[in-house]
Amino acid sequence: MIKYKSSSSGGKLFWFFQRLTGFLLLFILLFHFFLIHFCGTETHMVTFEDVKARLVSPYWKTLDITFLFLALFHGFYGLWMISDDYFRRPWVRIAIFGVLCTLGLILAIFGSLTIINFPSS
Amino acid sequence: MKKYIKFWRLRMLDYLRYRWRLGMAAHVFHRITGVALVLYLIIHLWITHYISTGPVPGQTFNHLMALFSGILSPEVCMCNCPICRINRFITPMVGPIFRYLEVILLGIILFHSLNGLRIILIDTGWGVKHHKVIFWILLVFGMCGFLFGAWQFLKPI
Repeated sequence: MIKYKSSSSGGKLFWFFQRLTGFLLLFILLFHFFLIHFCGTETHMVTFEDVKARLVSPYWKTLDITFLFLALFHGFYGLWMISDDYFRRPWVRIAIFGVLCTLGLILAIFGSLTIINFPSS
Repeated sequence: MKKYIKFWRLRMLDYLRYRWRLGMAAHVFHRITGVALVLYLIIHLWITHYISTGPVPGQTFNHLMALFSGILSPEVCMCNCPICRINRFITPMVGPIFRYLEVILLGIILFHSLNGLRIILIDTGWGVKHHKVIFWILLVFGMCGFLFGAWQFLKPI
């Protein structure tokens, strides 16, 4: 027989944040997509100069870092929910949770360092 | 004694035996697109970090963007870095493949975000009775956005 798992208590805050970040990402992501692709100087290509003109400003930098953190939270918590449905044994769940947390943190630090340090090589 | 049914042996056969309804198909596809978007995000972050690397500022990034735009400009034909060599190799063979992939990405983004909106409407309780109608309305919006975006993307070709 399949081992039945009792539903865990709590998770309320994460449930709420998943919906909240999803809702915010709907607008920020579509805005980002159309801004990057359709508002540059050249119509068929994204150029370094367009990005540079935008990302030297600290306001765009904060928006991009916020966007990055929201997207990483929403995506990795979604992955955790999917693996929560499929994996039951405790050590597997702990391992997957650890991998998701580390990968999320690494990407968050990596991405925000790229944005913060922007014009220098 | 506890026995676990093997994961794959159960799932593969039973997919066909489910009674497929609209809400279930939407849920499954929402999960698939979600995973695909996370993978895309990882690849995107890796590509975008090239904006601040390389000896000449911005050169690697511009060459990568030329590879993704699928159009061979004169400086790409002259340059000898690995990215431009890949560009000269791939683009005459399969055309602007990355453009088509970006159009598909737009479709995936629109589906996941609009279905997510539908899930939020259901979660607030208001959308539970009408979730199918909401799905079709959002599908119409999504198709409009998708056709507009695809047209803008594929226009330069």
